[in-house]
Amino acid sequence: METTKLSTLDKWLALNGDQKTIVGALANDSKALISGMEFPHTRLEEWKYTRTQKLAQGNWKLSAAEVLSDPEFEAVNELTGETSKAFFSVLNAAYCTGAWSIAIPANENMDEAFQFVIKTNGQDTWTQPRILITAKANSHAKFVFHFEGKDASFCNGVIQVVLEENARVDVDVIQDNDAAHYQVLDINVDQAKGSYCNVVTHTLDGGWVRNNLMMTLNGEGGHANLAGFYLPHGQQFVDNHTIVDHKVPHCTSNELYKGVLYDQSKGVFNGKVFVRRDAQKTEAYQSNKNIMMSDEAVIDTKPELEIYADDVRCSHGSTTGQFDEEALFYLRARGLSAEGAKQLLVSAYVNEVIDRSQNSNVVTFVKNELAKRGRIIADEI
Amino acid sequence: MIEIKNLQASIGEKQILKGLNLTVKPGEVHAIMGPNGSGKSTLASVLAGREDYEVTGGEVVFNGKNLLEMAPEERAREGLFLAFQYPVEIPGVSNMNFLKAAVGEMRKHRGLEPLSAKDFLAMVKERSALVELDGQLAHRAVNEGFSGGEKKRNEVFQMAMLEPKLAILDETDSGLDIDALRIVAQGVNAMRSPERSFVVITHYQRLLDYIVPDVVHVLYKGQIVKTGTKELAMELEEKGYDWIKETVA
Repeated sequence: METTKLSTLDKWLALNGDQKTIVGALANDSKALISGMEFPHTRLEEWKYTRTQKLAQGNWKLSAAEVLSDPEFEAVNELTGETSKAFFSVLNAAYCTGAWSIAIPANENMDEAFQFVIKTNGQDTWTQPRILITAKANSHAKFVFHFEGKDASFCNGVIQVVLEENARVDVDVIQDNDAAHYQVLDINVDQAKGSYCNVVTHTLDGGWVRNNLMMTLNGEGGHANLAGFYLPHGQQFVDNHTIVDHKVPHCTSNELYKGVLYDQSKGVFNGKVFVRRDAQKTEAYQSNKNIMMSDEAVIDTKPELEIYADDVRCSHGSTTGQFDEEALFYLRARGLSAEGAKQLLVSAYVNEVIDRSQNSNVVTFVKNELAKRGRIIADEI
Repeated sequence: MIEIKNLQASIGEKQILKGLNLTVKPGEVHAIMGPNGSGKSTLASVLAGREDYEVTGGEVVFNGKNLLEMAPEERAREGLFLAFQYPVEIPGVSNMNFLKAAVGEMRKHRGLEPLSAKDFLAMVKERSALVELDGQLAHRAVNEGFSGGEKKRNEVFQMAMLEPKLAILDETDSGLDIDALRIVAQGVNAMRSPERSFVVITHYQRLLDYIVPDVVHVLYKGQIVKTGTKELAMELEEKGYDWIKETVA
């Protein structure tokens, strides 16, 4: 289609003409690739429920994110390897503002979690951080990625996790953004034989958040755990797209996403589970549950299961509703305010997700943060 | 303590309470008996503030205040306690967190400092022993997976923790075997005091062998049709409710 209007990408690039970004074969390939890609819009199936106009209208200026990382992460000066072909992953690789990698040596069991704080501050700031984790055979490590987005800024991050045979990786993602901030986060996990990966996404606050989590089970005996919660309020928008790809037999996956939606907020959950033709004896469970706290809140939820193997155990489901009136009355009849009773019920509801984290410091931190914000009641006893 | 005058209430189009009068003085135990559908549980629900019921007439004065104007939580904080006929299971909410919050609200309302964790736990230990509630149950989710007897004991345990001025026991004996009944009654009796009143709603006389009432009322078609002493309960047990129905007709 002929058009005189600049495409969104052209406009963004024009604003960032002389900005230096990370070089490398992957960056070059991605630049070539992105120029032919369509900016996501709601007519594309993957973006059907996600409005991108306001993001597209931004006059974003590329800049390095302020990071606070564990010294074990090494800065990467040249991008190589591959990336997901999703628009924002390619965009990140093409114009990456900061990249780090870490490799957990074979047979190492790291007790302490690796921390990584990524802050995007300042009006119109656009950061594109990229992190690669490689867990060598039989290693075990925990990671915490804490994203903070301040002001009307935009963070487009990518985290790649590669698990070798029998490796185990626990990832906690904490998202704590201002109402005016935009965040896209692509997490791609590749799992070899016998590996175990647990990714928990804690969205404390986010103006506009789109998470794409893709876990690929490439080796037998692998296990993928996915969990996340979102408690959007005001005009917040939180979108979780997940894919679990069972490519080989004898793998398991377990997914639980829960949302509580307040005010005029909007949530999206789209979870796909693929069970390929060869992936016999797969066990895959997926669940998305939502509680609507307001008549004006909206949730679009779409659990999808595509099974091409015949000897599998899979289930998926989605529920959306309000709090049990009987439970609310019971709590109020014992002296709790309607507000306090709801907080207590939200606590119980969300704790099921938070407790899937294998990092007790994160569990405590997240519960305290939510309690401070008046969403839940902290466990005191 | 509580004065109910000409109380009328309906659910949907159906009127259930048709001018009920009842006065309970401090320290008294009143039993309300009556056949199925007479309005016993409706009375309990209306007093606790369940929104499904509409009060269409009459008044309820609780310690000098208009009870019917209050939200359910205000009634509870003013000292009204309803032991539910069917205690609600609330997965994920621990009994302890729930009780901590509830006790905290009561104390705040009474102008008392919050209890320290140590004092709270000591109180839990003491009061749960009253109804022989396993310490483990106190730490589990509210009523989740509890047996019928455990749920009723948990209600009485909560009552003991919240120290109400007036406790309404709505068919607390239903579904209990004789041992559980004895334990529940023992918990209630331990809570009896000259300042605390009870309204015991029951279908059967057997609970009243354990919780001995000062006054027995018979509720029929939404009104108190007979009032007497504990001997009235025995008479009912002997003659059945048909006797009342005939007397009233």
